[in-house]
Amino acid sequence: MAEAQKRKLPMFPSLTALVGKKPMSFAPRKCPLSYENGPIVSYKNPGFLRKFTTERGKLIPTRMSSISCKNQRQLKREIKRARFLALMPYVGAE
Amino acid sequence: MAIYELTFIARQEITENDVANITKEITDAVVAAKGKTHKTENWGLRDFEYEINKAKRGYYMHLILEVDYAALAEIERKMKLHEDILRFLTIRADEVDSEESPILTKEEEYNPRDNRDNRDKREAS
Repeated sequence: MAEAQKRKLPMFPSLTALVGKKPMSFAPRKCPLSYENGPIVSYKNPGFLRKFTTERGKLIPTRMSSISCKNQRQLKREIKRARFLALMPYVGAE
Repeated sequence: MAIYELTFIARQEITENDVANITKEITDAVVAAKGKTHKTENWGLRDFEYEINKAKRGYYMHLILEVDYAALAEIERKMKLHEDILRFLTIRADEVDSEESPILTKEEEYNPRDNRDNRDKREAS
């Protein structure tokens, strides 16, 4: 029992030692819509809103577009309005 | 009094004059209710992204009105009964957007497949 306690846990080499360099660091990406005199996010601008949907017409999630929460909520609202007016597809062409 | 953005879609079969008449009916009702029409914008005949009641395209008309809700509710009721109006959308706005809608000025055909394939070609030329 005493012997088992004495036995040290194996030491794992750190990632830096293994790879030989520091792991890559990621700076948080800024929201691509938050700048002065930014684009008009409106259902009256469907050509622009299309950039934030997939080919199939689904909304692109924030984790992929890194758009801020506030702008994403606005985008969602305006895209849904544009869809209702048939300016954008609910389900796009395959 | 509040500001509302009203967009309606009329059937394709009717003429431009009929669309103007429908618009006039609405603006007359607004005037009767002591309201104001800030903007009248004709988006013209547009193709739908999906079919609405078997129709594939229609006339779009965009208005910015300043009316009481009671008058607007009456306008909406009449629009629902109107045979030539396929669909309409009213939105409460904080302020009058006096600029021309980007749908008329910044219409760009966005094709997601276009991005990678043609960008290089365009840059090369």
